[in-house]
Amino acid sequence: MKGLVSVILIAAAWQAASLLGWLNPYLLPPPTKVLYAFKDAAQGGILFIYLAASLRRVLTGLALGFAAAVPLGVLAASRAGVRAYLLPVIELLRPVPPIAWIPLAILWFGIKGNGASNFITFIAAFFPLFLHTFSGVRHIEEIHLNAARTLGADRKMLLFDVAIPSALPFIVTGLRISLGFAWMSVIAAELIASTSGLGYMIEMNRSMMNIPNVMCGMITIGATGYLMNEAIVRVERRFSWKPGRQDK
Amino acid sequence: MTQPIFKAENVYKSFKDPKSGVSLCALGGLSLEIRQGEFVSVIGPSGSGKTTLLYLMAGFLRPDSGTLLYKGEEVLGPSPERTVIFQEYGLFPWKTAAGNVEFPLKARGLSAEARRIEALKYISMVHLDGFADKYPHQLSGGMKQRVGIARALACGPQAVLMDEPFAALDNITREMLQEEILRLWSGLGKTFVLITHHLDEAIFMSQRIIVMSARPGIVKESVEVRLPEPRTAEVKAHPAFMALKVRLMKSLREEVEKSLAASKGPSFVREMGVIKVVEKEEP
Ligand SMILES: Nc1ncnc2c1ncn2[C@@H]1O[C@H](COP(=O)(O)OP(=O)(O)O)[C@@H](O)[C@H]1O
Ligand SMILES: [Mg+2]
Repeated sequence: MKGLVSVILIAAAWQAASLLGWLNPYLLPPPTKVLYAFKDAAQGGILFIYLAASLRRVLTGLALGFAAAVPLGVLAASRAGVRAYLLPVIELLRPVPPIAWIPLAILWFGIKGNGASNFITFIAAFFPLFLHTFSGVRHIEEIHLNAARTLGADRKMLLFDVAIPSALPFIVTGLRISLGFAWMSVIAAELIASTSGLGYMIEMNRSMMNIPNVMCGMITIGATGYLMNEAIVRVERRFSWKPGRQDK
Repeated sequence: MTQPIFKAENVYKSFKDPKSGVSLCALGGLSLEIRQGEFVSVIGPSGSGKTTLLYLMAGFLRPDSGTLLYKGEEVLGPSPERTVIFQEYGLFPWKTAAGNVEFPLKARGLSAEARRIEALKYISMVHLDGFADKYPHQLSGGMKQRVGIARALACGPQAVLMDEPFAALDNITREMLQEEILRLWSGLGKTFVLITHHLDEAIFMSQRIIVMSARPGIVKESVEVRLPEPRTAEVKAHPAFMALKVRLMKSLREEVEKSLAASKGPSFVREMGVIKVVEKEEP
């Protein structure tokens, strides 16, 4: 894996620069220090507790976002009336970044518990999923609709046997983008509006100037995001019916 | 006398170009009748409204004016009774061959097991045994169209409407599918309407050929094909086959020239008009 080679090379260069005294250890501690911090946090179990807390919020937000975005996306795509009322609202809300919702989220859900972070990840997950579902259903080919109707499909079959499977590759791509957004947003939310999670871990260690632990949190975020993306890319390939992408 | 399965009376259909707003008349008062159980081909220059006519019969489109009746009733929308075989197959790429054939069976409310059994029957009817669980992109063009045929038959249709179903296939595959369609037609007693720009195909397969005029499309003439049945490859060497081909070729060429002329401006149209009159004087 060439990616792994790059990571090792960067770490080695970083370590060398630290040993040569080129880097201020308070501003950028060497990888060995970060590794020790990793070991401590992992052995103490706190790293996994925080990781689990963040993951749970992401998955909750993603599930809520999916439950809201996919039906709304299908509805907006298939009904001109719904589309006319809904799209302007969506386009007004979409440019507001999820973190701009944090003040309201704190006000509504408080800092303790998962409410505020779940809400932020929901906001983050909703828009990519909605837009991808919407354009997936809008992109159904006319010939497939005509074929379905001349084969006797009723509304239910048009929805479940044509519209949704036809849009599925789009929806899964939306899911991948939403997952990335939600993961980034949960960390931002936890920096401010939480008392657990990887974001909280970073913020707490920053206030104590424990930079190796801050970096340990950052690396965990990066690695987890990477693994989730890899997993969903596989799901994406599995659900794509497009020729060439799913040749077995 | 039994009523025709399809009856079009003075059907007009125009399309508006959404960008320029210019309206284009595809069918200009077309009338025709198709008898129950008939095998009819429709030929005509490209752009003469053949697909439009078929889509009106299928119920994908509605006439602007005039009436289009199916068994005496106005066609209001698509129905599996008058199903379509598309040139580009129109298979659902997210379903296997069997899944595609099961689609109309599911629409008819059959249970999952009954669907599967029934679908395999139709798949075997078009000689695709062993390919039931392949996806469309894993099949060749000819195999895809076989799935299209099986799927249409699974509707239990009264009429099968085909829009240049073999146009994308090589000659051998085309001829094999032609013979298979004929075999299915003679065994089923259903009405088949075939749109094609391929004269041999039209003559070989049909009992009657409808020639469309250049745009705006109307029926220019309707020609009975009197050739021995069942049709086999030898029919193509029959003198009557040749004579009919020459005759239809002329008729078709006139229309193609008219539509070419129309696209080249009015002065040329008049010129071609003269030539046309001269051609018509020949016996
Ligand atoms: N959906 C449509 N929108 C606009 N123009 C159309 C549409 N369908 C057909 N036409 C036009 O109507 C004419 C007849 O088309 P068509 O029925 O496809 O002819 P054919 O099948 O004989 O080639 C053509 O000029 C075509 O451009
Ligand atoms: Mg056509």
